[in-house]
Amino acid sequence: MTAIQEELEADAELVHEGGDSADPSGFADVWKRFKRNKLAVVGLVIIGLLVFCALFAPLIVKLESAIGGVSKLDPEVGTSPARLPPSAQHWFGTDKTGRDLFARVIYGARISLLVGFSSVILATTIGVVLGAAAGYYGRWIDSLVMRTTDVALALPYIVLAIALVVVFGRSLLTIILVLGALGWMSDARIFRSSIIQQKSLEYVEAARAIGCSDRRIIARHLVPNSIQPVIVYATLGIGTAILSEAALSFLGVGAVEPTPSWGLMINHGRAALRSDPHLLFFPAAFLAITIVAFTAVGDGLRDALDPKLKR
Amino acid sequence: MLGYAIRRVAQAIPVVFLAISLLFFLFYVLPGDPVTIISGGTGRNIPEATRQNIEEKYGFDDPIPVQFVNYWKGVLTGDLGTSYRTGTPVWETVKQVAPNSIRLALWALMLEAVIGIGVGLVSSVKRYSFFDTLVTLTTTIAMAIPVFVTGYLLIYFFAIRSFQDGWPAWMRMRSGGTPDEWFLFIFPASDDGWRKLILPAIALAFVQIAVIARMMRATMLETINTDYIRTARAKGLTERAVVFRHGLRNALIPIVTLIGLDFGTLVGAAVLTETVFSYNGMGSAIVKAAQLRDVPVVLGLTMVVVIVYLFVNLLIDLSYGMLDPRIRYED
Repeated sequence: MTAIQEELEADAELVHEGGDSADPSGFADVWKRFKRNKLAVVGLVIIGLLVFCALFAPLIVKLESAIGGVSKLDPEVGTSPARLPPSAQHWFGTDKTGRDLFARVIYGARISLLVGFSSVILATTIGVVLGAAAGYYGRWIDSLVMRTTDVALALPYIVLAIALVVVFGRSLLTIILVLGALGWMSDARIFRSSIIQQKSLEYVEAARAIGCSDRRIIARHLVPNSIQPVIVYATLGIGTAILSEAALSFLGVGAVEPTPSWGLMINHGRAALRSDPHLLFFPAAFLAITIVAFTAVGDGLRDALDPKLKR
Repeated sequence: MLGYAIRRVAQAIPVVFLAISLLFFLFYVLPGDPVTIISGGTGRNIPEATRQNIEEKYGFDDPIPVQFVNYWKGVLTGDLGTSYRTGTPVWETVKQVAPNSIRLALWALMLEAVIGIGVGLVSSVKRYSFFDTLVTLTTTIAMAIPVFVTGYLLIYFFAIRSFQDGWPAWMRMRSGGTPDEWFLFIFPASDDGWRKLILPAIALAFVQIAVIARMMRATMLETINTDYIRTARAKGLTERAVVFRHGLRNALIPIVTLIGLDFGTLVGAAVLTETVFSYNGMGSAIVKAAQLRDVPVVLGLTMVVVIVYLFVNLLIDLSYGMLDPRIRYED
């Protein structure tokens, strides 16, 4: 686990400690506080644009010019000369097989967001379920879950990810599953400590007194009251997941051609850095901006959810 | 304190054992056949005699649990196994790449400590100044920029453009390679050695500089508001003495933790930086071995990385007592 991740975990826990007073969860209040953070608002706008690109990519550019290889259907497409510099016709130039780089970068948003959101949903679900079980039941379930996280966190993240991808084969689905399977540890830890704090409070006792089942107490009472820090961590986690996908693809163990993954484009661009730096820098810039945006929104959300934690 | 250290080591042993065992079994799920790897790649017809020879030498004819026990027996006697690809003992690879990783990590740490602490300190002393605002904004952005983006920007400007556009000689760096001669273990001995090392060190330190600067600013601001700082001011010490002797020294403890933890991470997790700069270190060696399914090398190098990380963690925890005499260890 990296130092940043640890800091994020600590931050996410802080949110919780200060967050359970005077109903800070009213949407209007949170939004008002969120708006004050300019960087976070810019980040939110960027994410909005990216989501738009991802959803409507086919309306913006032609899929064929991103994937290439279907020039038989449309003689206009896929026949551009290779490695053109940026121009009015090809905004970001063309890559070594004559595919339009702008089209690939736009479709790349689709890949990145798909991997980011789905792996984080997977990781958060696993983390919340295991964290809730560990925190609520304690005893051997707690020990089992926590020792498992210790062992999984002891191995360098990227080594484990590479090992899993090598074992299960390179594909986008594998990457999502691997990132989901490796991302839940921090969520579980954070959620467990949230649950432990909450479960001794009166409302839980009251729920138990009127005869609620364990499952109902966890699902209807504890989870909604302990979810805040996890939401913050998940937002930050989307950025991390996008970065991990790009890193794996960059190392050659992630997405495969012709998937327009930013990491893969960076990997291909490095060979031509001297002559055609645009092949590397356009996807790299989109990747960096995307991650900065998710981090900024996560930070803003954390501050907005907890007014006491003034930085 | 000794009791504390022993207990910590005892706690770490099962974690290392389980983590490496997990990797071991993970790689045995692999569909590939190690005999094919050893005899030189797929698609070749391996004579039955050769196959038996290899199976016997590496113990593939044993059931997996037996191989597993044999592996750990070997590890306990200091034998990390033999590479499937090159046939050399894994220890040789460790000896070759580990020093490179440690050197790069130390260089990155020096940059982190000097720049991070410096920037954070100035930022906290001149709170809400233009510099402070600028630092807060740039560190927020810098923390999120992937290392390979930073790396290629550095390469493009300082190793490509600097030559193409005829920049001054001191700005022309090397984009790849590992210095091969060393002075006092850490400093490159050859004239050009530092030009190979400085760019990967900056790329590796980049994110962490931002993290340390922010942390430094936050802890320093917290320290400045304590009673003993007010006392120091009240008794008429110069601002300089207050900031450096009373403030900085107390604010450094969390920073030391952060830097120490980072050293453990840097040694093994510099995969991306090492790949970008073709630097011959542990991280890139692990990735290469994993892609080639060279199981003993992956396990051996990962074990070294994990042990270094846990050991550094222990050292940090023990160093608190020296930095802050108020801290005691429970035996």
